[in-house]
Amino acid sequence: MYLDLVLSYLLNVRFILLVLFGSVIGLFVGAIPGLSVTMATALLVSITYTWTTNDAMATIMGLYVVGVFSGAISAILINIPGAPASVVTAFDGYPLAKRGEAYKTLKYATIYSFIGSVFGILAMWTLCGPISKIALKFHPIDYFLLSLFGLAAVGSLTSKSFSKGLISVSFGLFIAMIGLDSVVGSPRLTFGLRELQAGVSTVPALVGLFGFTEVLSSISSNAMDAEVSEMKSEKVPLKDVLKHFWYSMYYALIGTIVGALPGAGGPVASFLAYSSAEKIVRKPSRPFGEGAIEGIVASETSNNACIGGAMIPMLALAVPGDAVTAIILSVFYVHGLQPGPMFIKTQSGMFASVVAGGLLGCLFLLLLGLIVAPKLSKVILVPKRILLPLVTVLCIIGAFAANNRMFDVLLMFLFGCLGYVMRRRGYPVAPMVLAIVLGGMMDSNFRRAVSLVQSEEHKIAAMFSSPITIVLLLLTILTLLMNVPVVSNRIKGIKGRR
Amino acid sequence: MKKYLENNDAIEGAIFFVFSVLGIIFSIKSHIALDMEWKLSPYLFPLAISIMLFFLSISLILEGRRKGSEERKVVNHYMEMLLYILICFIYYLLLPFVGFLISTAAFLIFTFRLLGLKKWPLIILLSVIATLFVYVLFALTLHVMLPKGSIYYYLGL
Repeated sequence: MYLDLVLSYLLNVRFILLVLFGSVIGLFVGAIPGLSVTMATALLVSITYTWTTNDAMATIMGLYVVGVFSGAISAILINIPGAPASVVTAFDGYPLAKRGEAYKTLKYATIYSFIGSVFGILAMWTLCGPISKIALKFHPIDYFLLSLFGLAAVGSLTSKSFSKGLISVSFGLFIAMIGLDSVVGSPRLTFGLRELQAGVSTVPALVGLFGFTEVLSSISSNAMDAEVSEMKSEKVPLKDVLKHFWYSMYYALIGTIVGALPGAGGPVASFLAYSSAEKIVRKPSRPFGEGAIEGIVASETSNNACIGGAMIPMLALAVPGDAVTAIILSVFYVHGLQPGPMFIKTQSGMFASVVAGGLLGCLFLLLLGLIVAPKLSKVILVPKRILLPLVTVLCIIGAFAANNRMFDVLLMFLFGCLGYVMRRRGYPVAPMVLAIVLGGMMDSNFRRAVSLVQSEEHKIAAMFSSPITIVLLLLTILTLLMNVPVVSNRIKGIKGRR
Repeated sequence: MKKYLENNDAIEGAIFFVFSVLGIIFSIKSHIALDMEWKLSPYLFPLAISIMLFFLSISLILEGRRKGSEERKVVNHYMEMLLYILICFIYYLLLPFVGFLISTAAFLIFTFRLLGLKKWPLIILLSVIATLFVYVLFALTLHVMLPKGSIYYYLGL
């Protein structure tokens, strides 16, 4: 579809240089904890306001594709995910880096991010129409169940104790409820604090729970020099890396589909892919969560495949799949363009520039990931007694820059202290973060679903009438049941007897 | 009873149990005060979460009971961490008054020293260079807004 137009962009030097410019910004912004791709894209929108739409799109696509990947760099090297989508990468990436395999892990992350991104962009190019049609069939209850399934999977994945994982989810959902209610507009759980009326912003929560918690943990354990991962260049044969190629196609498919569903995005995709990898990979290189390279493959392929997936409903339906695509949508509006069902036909040149920008972004991801990313590890070779105060300053900038208010800095500190206590007591912080991100969407869809069935005679039957709903409900119930201690012990017992 | 009290999980489970009950009461009371149908109520979802937490807290108490007593973990550098949090809090209070440049340089000087850097010239040099680098990167290059400091306004600068 529009191959000639796409090729003309791919061979345009100015276009290529602008994508490279965006990619380099994306590499640094994604890798620095506390700086998000969303924030950088928002900043770029103000800079590219006077540019042509093609130039703006080239820069933003480069930043988006490489920025999502580079969140993995800090996740692997210092255990602080650069973005929520990289949380899962840290599960196995950091243990691998601590074993001195940071270089190898980065290479795997780069190549599978590249594969995932290419898959997603190609899917966007070819499947834009059909996938949007499927996403259109989702009812509010389906969005709610999909998020619940994601949270149930995360809660049980990230902690040895099923209860602790889900308690972390519960508190994350409570935090997401703070602020003005999206349906009736009344303040909720604000306890009279005016600053809380706008709700708890995701950025200070993310920066605090991952960044400041890490700082406090390092100080309390006095790990000033020992924790620094070393980057040893080693030969990693491409044949070995590509051994997981066919599995990665499956993870990329998960990422693209989840990306196409508004609200779900990279974090849910990577958790689902990781959970699938645990089931389908019979003999991982190491147990999952302790340095399994298969976990990196699943997480990185799926979260990068989300990019193309998230662009599908944005381009075809004008419904953004995540925060970055919401900002990209505003770029179109600023330049007088109207994405939607007619966009591809009436603005074929623009559609081609998005595809070409995405593909060039993938190429720069590969080049920058293989050549520049390992050199970024120099940052973590700085002794922690120097690095920790600097990370604290970055955390403060990240929290403040989100809304330009000091209250967010205070929230970041509070979340950092909370994360420290949670870590010491074995409560995983990742489910809490995911719950904070998805909570608002879950709440509005849950209430919309309840409202919709009020007029029906058989309310329960009406709510669970669609096959998609039934499948999602069964998946959620199964995930919860399989992890209830009594059931999981019985399953282990049966397996043991065999 | 002793078996429960010797396990932190069981104690935490009991705290969460109380929290969940309070959450249920709070959600119902707040809903009644709003005088609207449950299907539209902003407290429907908090009520659902409180009920979920209620069952999870019981599950955690039972998990704690199964595990029995647990050893207390000792935090070796507790005071150092508390001092670090205190410096962070002072930095947070100073930031809007004296601005990013001065407060960040001062914060870095104190925290570098606290975390074990010995030589004062090195500490001061590192703090000033790091502050300027961060300022140039974020404020001047990426155009990120940083607190300017109200003191300059009062001084007429």
